[in-house]
Amino acid sequence: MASLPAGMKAHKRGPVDDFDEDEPLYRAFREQDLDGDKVSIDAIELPDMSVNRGRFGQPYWLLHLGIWEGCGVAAFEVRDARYSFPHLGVIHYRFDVVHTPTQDNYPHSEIYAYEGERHIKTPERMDPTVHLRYRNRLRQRLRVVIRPGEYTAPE
Amino acid sequence: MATLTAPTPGIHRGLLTIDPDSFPKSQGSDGQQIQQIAVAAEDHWKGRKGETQAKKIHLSALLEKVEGFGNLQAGWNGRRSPAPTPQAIEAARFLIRRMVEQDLDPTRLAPSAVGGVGVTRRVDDRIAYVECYNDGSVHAIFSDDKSEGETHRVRLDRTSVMHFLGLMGAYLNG
Repeated sequence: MASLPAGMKAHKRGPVDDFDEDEPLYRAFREQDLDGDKVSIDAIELPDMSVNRGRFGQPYWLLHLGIWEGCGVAAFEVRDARYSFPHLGVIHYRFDVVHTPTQDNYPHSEIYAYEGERHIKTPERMDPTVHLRYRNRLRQRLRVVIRPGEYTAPE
Repeated sequence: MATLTAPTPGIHRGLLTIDPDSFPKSQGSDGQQIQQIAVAAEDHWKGRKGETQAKKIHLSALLEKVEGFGNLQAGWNGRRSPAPTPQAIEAARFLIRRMVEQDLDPTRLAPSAVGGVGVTRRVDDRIAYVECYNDGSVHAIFSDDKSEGETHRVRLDRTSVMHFLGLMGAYLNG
């Protein structure tokens, strides 16, 4: 098993709520998630999609986690994740990124979906046309920064 | 100008009944032309037959791939994704058959991270992505690398699917 970079451990640090619009967010993907040079929509899950914050770590840190060994990393920005779908002049669905650190992965964050002010926790509660459009938006913006197999985390 | 006076019964393909070997070369240039036409016709039909066979094999491979998604367990992608249900797989199989019939073969089949099966047809930077959800419902998005995309609800009866595939073909090939 790969060792974790020192900065990855939370060491009692709590979440930091503020995000810059141009802060990068990193997401691990498997070789089979690629369709051409892009991560396919089918590989993008919602709600509560996991990402790592660029402010608190490097993209390759994700590949130190056992489940992502040999995988690739794609990046997008906070401004890409923040998005609202108005319906009849009212913002009905909203997406935002929330810092949710874990003990072994301090940069860990999630993209939350809200209906009004309510956090939606299961995909069945979302309108498919909304999550398809949002996931397609992320597909368009995700750019591969580490190709699968390109980085091997040291033991 | 050659007169075709039905030689020995030969190859039967619809209205064409010609055996190329039954035209002796000694009939001169007309005979040679007729022979060339007959050979070309036979090659054409053999080609069509080969295409049909290749299509059947291709369809069978696609259906088998989707069927295999039924063996996945929840969390198959290292995340919290549910495994595709039999309803999602059945919907995908129905759709794939119609797509192949219409020469709109999927270019990618994969289980979906939100639950279900994702069927993609990509032409250059344009994609038609159809998601067959675990409850049996089907939605799609047509998009390129920039546009927000156009979404469709797909009803799984033959008429509605054919209408939807007409829209898909027009978008991807337009």
